[in-house]
Amino acid sequence: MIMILPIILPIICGFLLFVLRDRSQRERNFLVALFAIFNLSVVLLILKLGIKELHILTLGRTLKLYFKLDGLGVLFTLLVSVLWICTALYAFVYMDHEKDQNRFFIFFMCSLGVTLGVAFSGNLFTLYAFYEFLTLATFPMVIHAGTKEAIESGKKYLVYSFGGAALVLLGMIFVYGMTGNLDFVSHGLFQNMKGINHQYMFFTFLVMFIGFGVKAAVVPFHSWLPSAMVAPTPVSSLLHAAAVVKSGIFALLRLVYFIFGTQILKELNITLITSILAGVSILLGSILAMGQKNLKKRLAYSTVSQLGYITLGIVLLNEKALTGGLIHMINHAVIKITLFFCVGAILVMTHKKNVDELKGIGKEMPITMGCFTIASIALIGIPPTNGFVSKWYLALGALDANRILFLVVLLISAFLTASYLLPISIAAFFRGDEGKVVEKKDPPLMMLIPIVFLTGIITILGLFPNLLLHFIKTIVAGII
Amino acid sequence: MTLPFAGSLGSWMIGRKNEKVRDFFNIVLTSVIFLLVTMVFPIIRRGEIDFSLPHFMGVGVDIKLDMLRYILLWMTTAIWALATIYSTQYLTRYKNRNRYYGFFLLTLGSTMGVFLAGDILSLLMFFEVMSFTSYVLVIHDEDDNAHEAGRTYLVMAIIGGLLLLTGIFLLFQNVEVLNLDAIRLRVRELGNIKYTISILLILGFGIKAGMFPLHIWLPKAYAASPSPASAVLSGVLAKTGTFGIIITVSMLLNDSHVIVNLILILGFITMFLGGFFALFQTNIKRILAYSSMSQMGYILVGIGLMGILKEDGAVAVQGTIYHMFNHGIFKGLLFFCVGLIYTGTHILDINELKGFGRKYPITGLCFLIGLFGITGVPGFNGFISKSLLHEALSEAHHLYHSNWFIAAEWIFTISSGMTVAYMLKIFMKVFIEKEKLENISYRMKLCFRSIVPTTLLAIMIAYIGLFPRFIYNLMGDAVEILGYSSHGAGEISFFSYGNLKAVLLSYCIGVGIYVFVINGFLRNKGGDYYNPIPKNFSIEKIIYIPMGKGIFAIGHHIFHSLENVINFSYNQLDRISNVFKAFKHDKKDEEKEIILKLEDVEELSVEGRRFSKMPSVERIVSFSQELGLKANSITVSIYIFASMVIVILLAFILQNYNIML
Repeated sequence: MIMILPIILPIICGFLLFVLRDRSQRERNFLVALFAIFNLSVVLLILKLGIKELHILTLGRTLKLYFKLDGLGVLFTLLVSVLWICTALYAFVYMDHEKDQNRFFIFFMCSLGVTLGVAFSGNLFTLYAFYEFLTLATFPMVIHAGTKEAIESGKKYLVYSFGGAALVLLGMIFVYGMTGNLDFVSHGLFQNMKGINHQYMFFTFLVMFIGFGVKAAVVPFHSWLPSAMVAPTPVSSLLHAAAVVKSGIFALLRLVYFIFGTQILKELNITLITSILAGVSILLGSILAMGQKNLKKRLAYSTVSQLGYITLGIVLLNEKALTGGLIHMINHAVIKITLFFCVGAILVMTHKKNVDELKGIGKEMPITMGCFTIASIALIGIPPTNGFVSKWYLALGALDANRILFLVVLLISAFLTASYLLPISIAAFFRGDEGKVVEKKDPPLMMLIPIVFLTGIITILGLFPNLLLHFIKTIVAGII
Repeated sequence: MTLPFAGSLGSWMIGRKNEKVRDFFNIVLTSVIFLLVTMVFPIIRRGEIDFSLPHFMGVGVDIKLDMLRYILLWMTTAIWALATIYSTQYLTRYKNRNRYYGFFLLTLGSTMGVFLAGDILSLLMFFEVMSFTSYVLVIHDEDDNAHEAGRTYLVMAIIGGLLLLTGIFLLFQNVEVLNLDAIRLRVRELGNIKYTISILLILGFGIKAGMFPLHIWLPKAYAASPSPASAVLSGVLAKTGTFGIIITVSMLLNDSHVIVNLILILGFITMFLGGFFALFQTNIKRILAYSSMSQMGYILVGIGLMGILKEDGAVAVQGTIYHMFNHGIFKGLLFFCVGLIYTGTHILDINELKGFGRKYPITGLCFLIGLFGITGVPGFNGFISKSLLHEALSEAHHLYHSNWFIAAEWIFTISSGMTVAYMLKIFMKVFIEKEKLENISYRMKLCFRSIVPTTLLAIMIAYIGLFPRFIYNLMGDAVEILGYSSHGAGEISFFSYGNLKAVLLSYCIGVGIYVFVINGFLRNKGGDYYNPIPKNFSIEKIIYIPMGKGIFAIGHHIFHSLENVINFSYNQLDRISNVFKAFKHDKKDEEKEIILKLEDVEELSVEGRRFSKMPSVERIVSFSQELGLKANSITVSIYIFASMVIVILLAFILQNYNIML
């Protein structure tokens, strides 16, 4: 029963926040932090106890809500829990200048529960349910600003997400029709099914791929992501780094490796289409990112491109590529959240949000911009940072699959990444007015701690990736 | 090697509190590193050092030190130590000194890493770190000029890194080991992919080495960075590129002629063009920068010959490594001299510096020694290495009897001549000619700390020139490491008639060029030099930048229109759903809707002028956006997706029907 706690707890917290909405800000922050940290400890306890499964309820004969925690789920759970704590700390300060803080934190905590639900889900139906909830829980945060623009992009977000979910539902019905089962089975649910029409499967896969791909921002279903940038920075960072897009990725992983399985997909010959979609995402994201003047939008397009890397790793269907994809899932989450935090810190401290306003800002906020630079270098994938490790495996995976084209795409994109991120750091540190009295404006400690902590993780993962790598390799060995 | 990394942090911390302590700390640190490296020497003579740090970067880092690496490492640390001493004087009036020293040490650490790396991945890692940390040195001045240079430098460095990475991916994919020795053993199993890999690697390293069509960053970066940084950039960092090429050639290309010939030809082009452009420049640092390019050409030629001569290539190897070593020293010296001048005057244009050096005999003498070194006057170090290279060239000629080699020899001689010419140009103008305006008084205090490194390098040049045997013998070991037999080494007499004749010939050509071309054509009436090359004439501006921009514009256009199409279809769906809504609502609402729409239309016609300027697609998009704003989000989404699901179901049913048929 303890397994349901991580999901229920944050939602209880959200409820508490609602009840206690008149209390002071301090108490609220304390409550949120307490629950976030407590939640992580519960998750760790679950891992320690080795609890694997939980049936919650069964609808009809076979349709059941069912939790099962395997390696992949553990990976995602830990990622989410840790990043959530960082974001919570960061949001305490950041949200100071926004209104309706209570509403924000209520949904903030609810989304944590729901995201963990995605991670825990043991069959397609549970995954689908939480996937839908996630959209609903995050929607109020996207439209937080309440402006016309925010509502507009919130609508776009809803439309895309529900559209995707509808396709998933459709696919799920097909899968159920074919197999009579929705459980996640390593090596694929379809593995042992004989005599299923290939065209039928092909179609089902495509529908579900697109459905989950919407959240994973696979081109051409990415356009909600840049629009959703009107949300406050902690939300964008969560949307981008931890919760939403990574749930999409996670769902894709479940779909590819636990429902269909590599064997079947290779027979279906579908990887060409999906990997081309991923390749287009990579290029489109990085090229359009260069054209963006608004920092957050630039990062948003960069996310599209980086998610393309991960998707590519997933759909190439070999061990190295999958290792690369998984490790990039972690690395990108950590890197992108750091970048967003830095951008948010700049926004709060100096009210600057465009790229060309940043001249000399590195001298005002050296720590923030220093972290930004390290994260940028990591995202480009320059050794010895963690981005390089993922690029290494992805590229080898592309070669293993005999697709040299994608190696080229990866490297071109790395170059583009450099050209849209590095000028920011350069302008920040090496340009600016001579002799101006420089006022140190690094953000308050509460914001700085998550930034520095995450940068530390980036560096450590870059220098000593083996710990993570071993874990990921065992996961990969189990499912491929 | 970890010392500089730790040291850079330490220096930064100390420097924030007390600058003097930091300066002292830096000098001591680099000297200690230098002494440590020197002390390792007896161990290296006995055998190579090899150790690895497992788990670092996932695959572990191999450190390897053999004779070849040792020579380069020694040169690196020596020049670095001197440059640090020199910097403490040179930089006194600069800002951001802390940053400078921090990155100076980081660059030292990573450069040492490049020379020490035993596996190709850590080689790449240090190479990249080096590119990034040295970038900070290049743009130290933070003016537009430096930034432009820095941008080119960075872009080229990143492209180089990616080319290398591609090469390494392909290599690893095929041999599945990273250690350089292991790769060498397994290289035979490679098929034709070997050539692709080596071209990628050579291009990647060639960027750092300033190889011909990739040299564009070199003159800019060397001219823009502070003098001690230019000295290490040109003296040491460029060598990492050639070191990489040497590794590649000896590792992968034991039997390939085409690519080796390509290196040779590119080397000659680099050599010639570098010298040629140096003739026209009026900025001292730019002259020296182009001269570096030209000298890198010599080294590339050496590498090319090394591949061509195969087993007999000992001379070429020795010449190459020797020249790398020597060039580090004399180019360091020359940049130091220029730095001395610049500290006092803040002028780099040789016309304005006319006659300046007459008052500074020590600087002049050091510069002259550097000049002798670079032009290869017997008794100075450049002579030794150039003779070796020349020897190798004639050996290749003997071996293959191709007329091309005669042409090559001529290019070699002419390039040497040009070296003489442009160096004379500086020397005559700055140190010999009489001052134009007598009453200009430069306040220049030559400080002990900057003179010492300069003179030390000058002494080194003369010493090596007079007693070449010592290092030459060490080269023998290095040769064997690269897999060439060292027989035949040691038999060369440097001061032979042929070598002396070659030097004399190139000197004649050089003086000729100086007298007739430089003084004849490149002076205006006042006796000042001018640069006849238009400012925007460079491969970068004519080809690379437009090409890059073009490709980017095309890419951007394609993807942007793709995005527009996506948004457009989204908005259209939005609009259709609006129509549904209009049907569903009661009449009142409908009227309202229509009125609203009519208002829109009026608004549109009022603002018609603005809209008519927009392309039609955008106009429709913006129109539908206006409409979309009025829709209720939830209903819209439900409608759209009900319709989408229906369409898909229909499609599916149709398809299924087909299957059944």
